[in-house]
Amino acid sequence: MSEILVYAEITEKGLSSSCAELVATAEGISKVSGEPITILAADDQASSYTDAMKLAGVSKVVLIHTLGITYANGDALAPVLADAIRSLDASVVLVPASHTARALMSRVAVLLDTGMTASCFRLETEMVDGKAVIHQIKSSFGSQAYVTCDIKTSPNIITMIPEASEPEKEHGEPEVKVIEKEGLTSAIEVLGREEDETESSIMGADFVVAVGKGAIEGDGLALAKQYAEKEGAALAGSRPMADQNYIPFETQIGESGTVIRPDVCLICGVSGAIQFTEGIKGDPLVIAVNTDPKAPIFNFADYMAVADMDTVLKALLDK
Amino acid sequence: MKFAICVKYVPVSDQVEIDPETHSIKRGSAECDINPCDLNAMEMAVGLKKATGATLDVYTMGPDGATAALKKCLALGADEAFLLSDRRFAGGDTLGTAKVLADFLEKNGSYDVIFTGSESSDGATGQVGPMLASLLKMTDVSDAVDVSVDSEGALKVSRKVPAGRLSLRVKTPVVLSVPFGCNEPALPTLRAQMKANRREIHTFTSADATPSVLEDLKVKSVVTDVFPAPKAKKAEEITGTPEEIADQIAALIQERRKKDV
Ligand SMILES: Cc1cc2nc3c(=O)[nH]c(=O)nc-3n(C[C@H](O)[C@H](O)[C@H](O)COP(=O)(O)OP(=O)(O)OC[C@H]3O[C@@H](n4cnc5c(N)ncnc54)[C@H](O)[C@@H]3O)c2cc1C
Ligand SMILES: Nc1ncnc2c1ncn2[C@@H]1O[C@H](COP(=O)(O)O)[C@@H](O)[C@H]1O
Repeated sequence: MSEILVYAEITEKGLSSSCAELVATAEGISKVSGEPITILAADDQASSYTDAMKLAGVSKVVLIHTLGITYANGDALAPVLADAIRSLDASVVLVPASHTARALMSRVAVLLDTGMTASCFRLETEMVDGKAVIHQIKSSFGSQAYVTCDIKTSPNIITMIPEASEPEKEHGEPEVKVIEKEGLTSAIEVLGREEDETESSIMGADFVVAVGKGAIEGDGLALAKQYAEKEGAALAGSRPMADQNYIPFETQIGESGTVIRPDVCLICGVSGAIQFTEGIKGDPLVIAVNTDPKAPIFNFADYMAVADMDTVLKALLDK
Repeated sequence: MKFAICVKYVPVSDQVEIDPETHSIKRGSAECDINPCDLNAMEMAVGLKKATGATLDVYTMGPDGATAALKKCLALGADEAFLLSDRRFAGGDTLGTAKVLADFLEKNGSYDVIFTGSESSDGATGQVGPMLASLLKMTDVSDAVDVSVDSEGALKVSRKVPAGRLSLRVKTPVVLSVPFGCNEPALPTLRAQMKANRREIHTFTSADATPSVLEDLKVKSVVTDVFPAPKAKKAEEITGTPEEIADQIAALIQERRKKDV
């Protein structure tokens, strides 16, 4: 029988937190198709994460220990993964929608000559003529709408953006298989790694003040900066703010930016496009300030103030 | 050395109309321009061209209007421009796009470095660059934010990864995908643009493509539905004077942060 594969991404930051989440998504497919779930990982350090991958609902963990080869060596890793996926007879491969995993899996899609969808956030599986068809739902370009995609070839390679909250996954006892791969060569040599302070600080911040185009006309941006500083919060913003150089690119929140998981998020002058709100995860307290009572951000926030952000921020600074 | 860059012609505004029948963007409903991060890729390509004395060819697959994107690249320093335009190329998915681009890139000779943007502003899949690399049996580096050549002719590439950067030594041939914001793209001067506007654009259609590639363009992923995003929840409204609003916001934040300590 074919299998549902979860690709567990390993980087120098360790095992991606998406692993348990993708297993939960895989269980949704499995409920309909009856296929077993396998976790697949390939990394120089793959075996260090065995315990974290022993999750309930998983029937098998396949760890490929690629000596000297990591995610940064996509040219060497992609053929290894493609072979594994082929020999496991996967009907679907669930992949985190990180830039690193999507680049690697794009190569795998070529090697397997199969279709690949990007940044889906929900899957709906149904049986059609005895075969499981996975409808892949993602936000659509430029409108407050979602689209459903089907892949016509097997395996379906699907990249998924993280869910709102990570599921608590219980431990299980899947069969663990370790495959040693030596002698792999890559045209890429990793010389070193440098940390990015700005980006790590917004990814780890528990209070984020986010600004959008509404901050451009008046003093919004300067006031938001002052307020964030006063409160020890991180300042972030929407894509147009980064595009137009008002904020560093690393602090752009959203589908094509950074995903944050703060406790509190004050959002000023942001309309609230899906591509923006997809960048805010966890279950933060969200307060939105916008002059437009119909702004979609108010459908995302817990509290809304229909007001000019400049005056509200001034009042907050005066407190 | 021989360089190429692939650029996409995309709708400028995201307020475009989606055709409810075909589920694709209504062409003609939108003003288009070169994909923003492709200009960052162009900036990087022109920089490396200057440093190495390489040639730089620019490719786009798209409608005739996409010539405008090619001419912008010619004005910015590209040497030759190639438009791949045919109904049979259109409407494909990322793998189909990559196959068409790879076919013509391969026909025109072996490139040492091919630049792409990290993602298109309309599709945002980030797949085309690495797919091209795999099809052309090249290595690839995505989110390449800086590049230089070392004394042995290998590339030193800085790759953006979550919360950091990798410093890499990469043997050519390689595809580099360049993200938005990593450099300040130059704008063409009026003179350069006028000159570029008179240049010939090499145009190719399906008649010029490798037959097996055309046969292989069967779309692998299809959009089956478009529906409005559900309204998730309705926020509780805070009202009053700016001071009253600020008081309530401050209180809410303080209460939440106390709870989490
Ligand atoms: C494929 C793709 C990927 C994308 N990825 C991202 C992404 O990662 N991140 C992202 O942010 N966007 C992304 N976008 C863009 C996204 O669709 C929106 O266009 C963008 O988020 C809008 O930014 P904004 O809210 O700042 O601007 P606008 O939509 O222009 O909203 C400005 C808001 O400010 C309000 N305002 C104006 N003046 C004031 C004032 N004085 N006080 C209070 N409010 C005021 C207005 O009422 C309005 O609601 C993406 C789009 C696509 C197609
Ligand atoms: N039709 C196309 N013609 C030329 N280049 C393209 C095309 N589509 C995508 N690209 C390149 O691939 C990059 C990534 O696009 P995407 O995979 O659509 O996110 C773009 O920035 C372009 O450099």
